[in-house]
Amino acid sequence: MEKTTHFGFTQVPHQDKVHRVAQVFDSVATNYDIMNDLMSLGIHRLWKRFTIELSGVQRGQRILDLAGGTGDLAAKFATLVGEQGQVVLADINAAMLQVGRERSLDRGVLVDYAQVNAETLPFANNTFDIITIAFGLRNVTDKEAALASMLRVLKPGGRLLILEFSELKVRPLKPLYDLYSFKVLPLLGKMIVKDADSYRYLAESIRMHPNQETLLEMMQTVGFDRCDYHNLSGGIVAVHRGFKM
Amino acid sequence: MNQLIATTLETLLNQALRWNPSSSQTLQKLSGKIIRIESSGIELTLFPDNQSIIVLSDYHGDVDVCISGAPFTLLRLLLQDEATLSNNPDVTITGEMSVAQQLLHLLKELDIDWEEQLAQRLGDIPAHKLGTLFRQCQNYTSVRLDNLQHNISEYLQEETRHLPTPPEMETFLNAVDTLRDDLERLEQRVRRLT
Repeated sequence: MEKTTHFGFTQVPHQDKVHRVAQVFDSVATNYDIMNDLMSLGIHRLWKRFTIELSGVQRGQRILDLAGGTGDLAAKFATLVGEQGQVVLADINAAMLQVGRERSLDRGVLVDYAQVNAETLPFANNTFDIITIAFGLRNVTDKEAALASMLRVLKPGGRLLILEFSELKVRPLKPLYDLYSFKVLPLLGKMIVKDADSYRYLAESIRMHPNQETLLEMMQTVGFDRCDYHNLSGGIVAVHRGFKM
Repeated sequence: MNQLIATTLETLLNQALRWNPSSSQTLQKLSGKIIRIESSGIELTLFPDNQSIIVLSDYHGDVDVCISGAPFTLLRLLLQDEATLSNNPDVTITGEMSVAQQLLHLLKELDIDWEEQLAQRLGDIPAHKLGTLFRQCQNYTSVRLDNLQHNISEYLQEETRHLPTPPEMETFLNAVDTLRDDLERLEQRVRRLT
């Protein structure tokens, strides 16, 4: 029998997910930042800020920003590591990377770019001090393979930070949250990007993503040490952190 | 809590920088430096680049300069017209002095022309009207405050006599000066005798 995986709430053949995710992001690339601001009411900036604070970044470090998309995390990291450091903005999607590249150049930020698949990172072992993946892991087909690949390219003592939608822990808000994600979000998508399906996928993929504890276990199984997570905005998103020892 | 302060400060600074295009030259001199500010338990680290400043509340790496002092001392430093860092005993500076001086310079440059910013949003006339109104309020309150201060000092000096009047104080200080001079002369004499 053919191996399947989830794409939102539907099951698709394992090898098809990459292309389907690619289609979604090809479609939303140019308006990605505007939609992020609208969807999260601007709070995604605070979530990303918190991630940066947790990263313990220092001048001169090497940082890989996976699924870096339009590069807002990478731009901040570039300032923080200074000229002696290095930031690699990586994404599987060429359209997103192109937007990220143009935006970074416009801001006068110099980072390196790489189109990579997180499951098979094309970097040498022990390369990076910090790896971040913000709102990207849930689109990866084989999450264990991706985590293992990240562990491999991290330097010993380096850390991985995963910023991702998670399980809302404030029960009374759940109906409201569901209404927002399954009704309002596709509507916003339809009005602004003229693409309701992509945003329906975003909402569905959030629900299919492993919750806080499951992701924590996955990280531990792959071999990360001293793993922990912080819930933000009541668990709508969570930052998972793990170290390579 | 510290993160909240850092976020707020970052937003305010960057907004002010955007509204002060002239400050970009000073900012460029600071670009790439790391500045830590410590004040009564709060630690903030500033990372200026060519266009903006990132503020982190939790940074453990090396910094180029560390400025520490009590909150009000630091605030006074910003509010004084001709403040310099070098001769202020209440502010401790470790690292590159010039970077700290440039930061102070930059912050002082951030004198936002509120009326101009308002005018861009509301139009010239409403902005001017609001500006005039604001200045009138400011005038009114400053006159009232001066009056209040005058009344209080008069009450304490003349009615309750808890505090000396300026002439009394002057006489007293002169007396102290004379006494000190006398004492010094006496000291010299005693030293000559022995």
